[in-house]
Amino acid sequence: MDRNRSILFLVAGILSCAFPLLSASWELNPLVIRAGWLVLGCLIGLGTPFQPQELLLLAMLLTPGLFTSLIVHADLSTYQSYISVFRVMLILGLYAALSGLIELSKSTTLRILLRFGLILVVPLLFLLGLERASPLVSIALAALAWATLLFLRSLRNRA
Amino acid sequence: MRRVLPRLLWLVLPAAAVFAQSLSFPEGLTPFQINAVEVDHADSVHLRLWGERFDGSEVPLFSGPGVPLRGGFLCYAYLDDEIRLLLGESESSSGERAHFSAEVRRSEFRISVYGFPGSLEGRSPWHGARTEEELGPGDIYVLSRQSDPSAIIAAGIHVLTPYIHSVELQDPRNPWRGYLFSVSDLDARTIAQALESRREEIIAFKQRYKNLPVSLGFHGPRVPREDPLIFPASPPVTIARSLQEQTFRDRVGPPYRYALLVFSFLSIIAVTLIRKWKILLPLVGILLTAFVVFTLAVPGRVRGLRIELALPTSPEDSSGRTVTLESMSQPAENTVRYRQTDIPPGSWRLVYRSFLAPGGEVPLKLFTDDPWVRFNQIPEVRQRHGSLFLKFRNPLSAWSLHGP
Repeated sequence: MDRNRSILFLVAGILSCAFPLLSASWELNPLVIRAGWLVLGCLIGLGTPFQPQELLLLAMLLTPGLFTSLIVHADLSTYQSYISVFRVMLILGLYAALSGLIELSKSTTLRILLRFGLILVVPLLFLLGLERASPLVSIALAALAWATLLFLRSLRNRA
Repeated sequence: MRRVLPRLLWLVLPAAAVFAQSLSFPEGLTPFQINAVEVDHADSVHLRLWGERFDGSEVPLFSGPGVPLRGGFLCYAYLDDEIRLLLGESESSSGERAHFSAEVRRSEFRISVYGFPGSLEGRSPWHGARTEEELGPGDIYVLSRQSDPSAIIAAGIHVLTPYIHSVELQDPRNPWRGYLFSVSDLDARTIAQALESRREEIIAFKQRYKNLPVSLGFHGPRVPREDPLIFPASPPVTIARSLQEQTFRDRVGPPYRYALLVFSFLSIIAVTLIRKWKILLPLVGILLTAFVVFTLAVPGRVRGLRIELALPTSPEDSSGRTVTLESMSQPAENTVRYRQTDIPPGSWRLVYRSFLAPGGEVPLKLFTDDPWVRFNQIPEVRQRHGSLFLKFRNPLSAWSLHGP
């Protein structure tokens, strides 16, 4: 892991854990909390697409803070909170796969535009439908995006 | 016709059974109280009740299989005075759904009379009580022996007797004490006449008690204080808000706070010092697993606040006096308790309770005995594994009256 990314991960982990502790008296909508953590994850992946191990580490660092925030600010039960965390991490996985697909493009301008577009599209997709849909939909979408990415990468490597 | 008729009957009879479902209310429907609702003739595995307000909005009231009764199921619903329609849906074991509804007609205002020689049936609002324990503030005790009624009067119950004429029992400065009615005789006619002659006064008295918790709010102004337990010229809502802020300032609670701090501290050290993925990922994975196991093994605890206050000296003015509280909390108790120091002995108390619960649930039984309870929201009654809970948005706060 390069130094800049590890610093970003540290900042994200600290922010994620500090938020529920510093805002202990607040009441928040669970949707806002989930969207907040998702945007934070997407912003960290804005520069270079996540490698699978980086994505896994980021998900592990963000989980306790997101879980506690859902319990404390949105009154969700332990079970509901972990389901919500799982959903957010799946969408983050989808984002990582889509940003990996964008990197396959040869045009630099297009890549930059698409990256910023993705930052808007993925959280919006989450807010407008995936948040309410079955977790299976999120699993299927993320798996499809990763499969496409791996397939295209293998084609490229062969070429 | 021979073929069609059995088929028609086969279709119509189950349908008739489904639509025969109805709602009934064994104790009537009263706003600001946990009401029992019976769903009759239901082959139901899951029941849902919700209320429709005057503005058309819907609010969930009950969800669960219901408590089995003979020929039906019992469920519970808390209502405020804005719900006009009670709607229900039951799902049978075969997956069929039936819908039913009932207009919320407020039950008659009742005043219980204990010791009436005869029947009070059909003489609204009077209602015969079988035991003394059924009596609450504003009800009537017909005292048919020579004994001291001061404890009954202090508890807000009117006493009707031919044996005592003492004016000392009356206290015009305390509007919450019951009245002493002297009657010439204890026969049904004389007592009925005495009740009818003071009818308006008795109804107004009971209504005053009922209105006290119902009219109190939850959002008072902030008042700066020197002593945390002395409230100069403060209405009950200010006292409640102030102590609630003090008690629930931290919604996280110690177990999760420490778990989060330990996880973040160790994971920061790991990410800072370790560069090899093969070591870093399993290590953070172990830390996360420990956090998950901890949160599953140590679920958050319900934290509560309870404040007992004396009834205001006059119903109109509840803000003119200094209220001094004493802490009644026990060490290692989840509920913080306060009590006003000068509550008159034997009198009713105004109680404020507030709960901060993980998942927003507390047992229903905490509120089922309260004659009048005003919540800061309409909680939904939920049934899980045979137990009944109130589901709410944290914190759940309630004003209620509690007996001596």
